[in-house]
Amino acid sequence: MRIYVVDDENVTAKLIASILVGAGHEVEIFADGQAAWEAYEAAPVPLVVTDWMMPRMSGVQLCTKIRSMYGAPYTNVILVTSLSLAEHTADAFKAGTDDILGKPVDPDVLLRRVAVTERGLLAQAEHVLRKNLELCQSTFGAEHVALLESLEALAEVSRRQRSYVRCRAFVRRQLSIAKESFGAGDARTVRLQADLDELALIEERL
Amino acid sequence: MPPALLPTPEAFGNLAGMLVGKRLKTTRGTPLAVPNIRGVATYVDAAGVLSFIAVTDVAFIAAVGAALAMIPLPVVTEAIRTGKPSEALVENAYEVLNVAASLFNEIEGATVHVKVGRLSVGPIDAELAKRLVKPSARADMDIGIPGYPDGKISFVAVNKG
Repeated sequence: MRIYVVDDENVTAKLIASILVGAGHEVEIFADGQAAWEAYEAAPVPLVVTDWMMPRMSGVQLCTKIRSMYGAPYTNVILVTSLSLAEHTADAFKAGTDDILGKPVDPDVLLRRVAVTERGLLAQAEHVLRKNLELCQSTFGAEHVALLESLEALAEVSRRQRSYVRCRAFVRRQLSIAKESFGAGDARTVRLQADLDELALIEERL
Repeated sequence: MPPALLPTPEAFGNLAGMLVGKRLKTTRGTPLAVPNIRGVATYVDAAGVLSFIAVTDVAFIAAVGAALAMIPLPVVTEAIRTGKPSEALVENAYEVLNVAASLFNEIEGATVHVKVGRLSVGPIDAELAKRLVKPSARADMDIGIPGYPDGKISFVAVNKG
């Protein structure tokens, strides 16, 4: 998952980033809310982990900006702070913060919260993709490439959810459509067969 | 030997629902009549001994198999009409029944490891049918998956005595 880490304390930012990178996430670091906001406007990400008190733009202000961006997919915002939580949480949540963590960040706690975010995002993505697939099925014939792409996207979500049974079912269905539509020797069919074989190997190792 | 614990409709519904991404309606059902059995899955223990049998009607195989990969309803109704679910539907249903093996793995606190051997489609083998007559336990369920016809499945613990 792509994550922005925002903190004016370079050491803290790098520490948080290393925890997230270690868990397989793709991280970009920003020194303040303004820099993060400029990047976010150009390329929104599903998760922002931000410090509260920063020069130019605070974490809460950044959160307010993110929430005001019309049409962007939902972004979870985790605020990291050493401020006394009881006094300030109301402001942060009012601004649209999803979660607040105290400093210093406990790696396990951070990764659990990130996992919650990821599950939620994957569930949202799956919901949208299911609707998309239904639309493809009712609009196009089974041979249509859009149907294959829709199934591919669902397989990818299932793979990220580690739901290999469902992932294999989607790939198997793609394979059968590809065989019928393009033939067994077509590059797309061959790639899907390789995907299915790879998934079987992954499952054996689990 | 302690009585085998079979999955409850709730447990099976939760597991299958998680796999297909839908909320299933599962209720206690009545035993499937032998002529209506179209799917037979056998579960063996670590020593390869037959421990459990799952029998289903064709609607179960078609609906569960379709729901897993979001295969459209007309494919399911055709499978039910002809009594012949496609290979993809059968493979998907097999995957669900394979995962369901985890539900058998607690017997009176002791853990057994069963795995599904195969899912065969068609009438039940006469020898296996005999094992259904006096089982040590059985759980019959009606399974409703939103958007698909209802199906039936029965899990049977084989009497090894």
